[in-house]
Amino acid sequence: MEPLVLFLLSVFSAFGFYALLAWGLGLIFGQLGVVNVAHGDMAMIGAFIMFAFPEVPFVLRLLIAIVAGLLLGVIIERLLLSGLYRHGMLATLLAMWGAAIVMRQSMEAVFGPTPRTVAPVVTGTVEVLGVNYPTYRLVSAAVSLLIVAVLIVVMYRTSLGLRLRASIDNRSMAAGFGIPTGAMITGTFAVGTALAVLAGALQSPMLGVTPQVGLSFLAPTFFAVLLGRPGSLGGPIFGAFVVAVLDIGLRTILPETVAGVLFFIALIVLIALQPQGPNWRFTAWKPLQRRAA
Amino acid sequence: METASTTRRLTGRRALASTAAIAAATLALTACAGGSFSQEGEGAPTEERAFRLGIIAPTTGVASLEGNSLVAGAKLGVEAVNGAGGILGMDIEVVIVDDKSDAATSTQVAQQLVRQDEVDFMLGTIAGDTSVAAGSVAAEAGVPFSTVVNGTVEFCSPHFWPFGASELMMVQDLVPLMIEEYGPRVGLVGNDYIFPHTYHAVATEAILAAGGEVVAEEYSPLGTADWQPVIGKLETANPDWILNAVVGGDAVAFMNQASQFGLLDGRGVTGTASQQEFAPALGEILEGRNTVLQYSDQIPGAANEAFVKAYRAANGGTDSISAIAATSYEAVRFIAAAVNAAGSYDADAISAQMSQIRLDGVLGDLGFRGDNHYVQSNMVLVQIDEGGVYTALEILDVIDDATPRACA
Repeated sequence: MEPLVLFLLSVFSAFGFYALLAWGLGLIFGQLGVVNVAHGDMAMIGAFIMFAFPEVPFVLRLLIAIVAGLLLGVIIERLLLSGLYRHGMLATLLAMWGAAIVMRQSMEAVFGPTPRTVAPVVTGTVEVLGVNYPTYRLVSAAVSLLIVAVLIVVMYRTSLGLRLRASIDNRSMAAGFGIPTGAMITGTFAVGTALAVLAGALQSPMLGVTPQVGLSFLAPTFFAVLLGRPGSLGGPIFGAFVVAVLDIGLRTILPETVAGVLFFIALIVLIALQPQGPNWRFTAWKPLQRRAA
Repeated sequence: METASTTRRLTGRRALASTAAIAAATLALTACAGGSFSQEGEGAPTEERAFRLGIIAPTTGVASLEGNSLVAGAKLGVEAVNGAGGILGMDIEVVIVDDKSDAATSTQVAQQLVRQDEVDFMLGTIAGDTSVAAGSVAAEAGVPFSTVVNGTVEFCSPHFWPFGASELMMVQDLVPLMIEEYGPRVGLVGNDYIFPHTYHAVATEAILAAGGEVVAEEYSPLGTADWQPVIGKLETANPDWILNAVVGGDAVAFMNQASQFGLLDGRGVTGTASQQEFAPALGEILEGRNTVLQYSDQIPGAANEAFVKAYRAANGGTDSISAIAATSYEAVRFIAAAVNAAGSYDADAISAQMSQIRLDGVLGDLGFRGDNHYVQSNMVLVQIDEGGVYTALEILDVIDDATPRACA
């Protein structure tokens, strides 16, 4: 019983982290067509923000991370990406690759290469069905999933979400209806970036915070996005759950290195078998219809 | 956590030099603040140009922490040598290149040092594969080459002289101490590359020889951020203590998560994560714990005090100085002594002296075996105290690692 409980708790913890990361990446990748290879490094920025202000209360630091993520997203989208969309996906991919290097080198210049650590806001363990599990991990995962849930509600049940989806689906038509599509695109990228920064900030107490720490997040997060239906807002969440189950499950029963190989093989097979993702909609809510005046 | 009684027991466990005796011996053997050399024979100087030292270090990338320590220590070593008259009467010329901890880049920059800069000696780098890459270029060009990191490099040549402690030096005294203190059941954990496997293989022999047993052995790829499955396996195996060979940011992640899961409660833990570079991040998790290192900045003696003073002046900070910085500092001084003894920049003449001379300095009594080129130096039993102070409890005897290795 205890191994099963530990497995489920571990999956829940990993799911929360990857859901937050993957949803932001999916938003950018699926909706803007930008392969954001800097997504893991954006999480790294969040972890360093948590390290940089130890005297600031933990929750306030999370808010700082969100604001910093929004600003970072706006800056990158306006100054770097906005002029590159017309050159295609490769141009934006290379631009984000360069941005990732700049982020890593900047953090190394400011904080040095020494691994850093962040104290969790909640310490100790909580007993769940006979298993003592770190409280912070559960809190972090719950907060992450709550944020994703709120954002999905915003996307499907609010006027802002309607405009955002409209500008993403058909930019010229949305512009014809008076929707500021440029601002919507910038906003989408900023939100995706802020989610990555927030994910890194929440995960920071479990990490050795270094400029390279974000690199290991990228591949699983991309697979989580690819597992879902392209453009689907729920797909990355489904993908994150599959990634969490496979990652924790394989690593629990197999040697780490073998599990790592099988993990990526399994994901590639899943994507090859179902390249369009699951043929059901994660979110089946009826999109909000605005009544004619 | 260990207690004051632990310290006393460990301190009194072996009949080694006491702190006072070490200080006295060091002062007696040290002709000046920089330590003293002893050598067999000294050639007449024949060179009319400056000695060129090529330093390969990953000053950027995943091993930049260690790479920058290497450069910082080597620069101080060069300053010390130049301040004492240089090599064959001339200041050392230094060329520093960044290999980014990438083996292909190591090969490329090593070739640059050999062909373009025409260096007389190469020092570096950090990771095993990059050391092999650079060493192969040096061997092909007949240029002497040294590394400063701990662990056996899977490479040797007549001109290869690694200053880092071998795996045997790291665990031979440490394992019996840990078994006596915590118990016989040992869990091994590390990253999945050559060094941790070799380290654990040597440790396993020491564990079995000391009456212990290995109850778990786990390896995770470099860059692992989430260690909970590994921690779960270790918890299930219920070891008395854990010997870890986890490196870089992974080491901090593993130790933090192990602490959060309660894995370290009432258990011993030692190994690579106990090295100085991790103390600022791990803080209380390391406090009171013991390990065996090649260097501690708390070692008494004029040579070390001079090094620590120079290091602080050049780099600032109050964190414990890493063994890599001290080893690269001492490596430069040792190389200078060998070249001065050889009286020329000829590789054969230098290598002939590398196994002959001894240097009494910050690494204790430093020299090389002539057959397998393993370094011979004192190891230090340390306790990590509040503030990340690596208190030297005992200076351990030189461990003579006679493991066969083809270097001829």
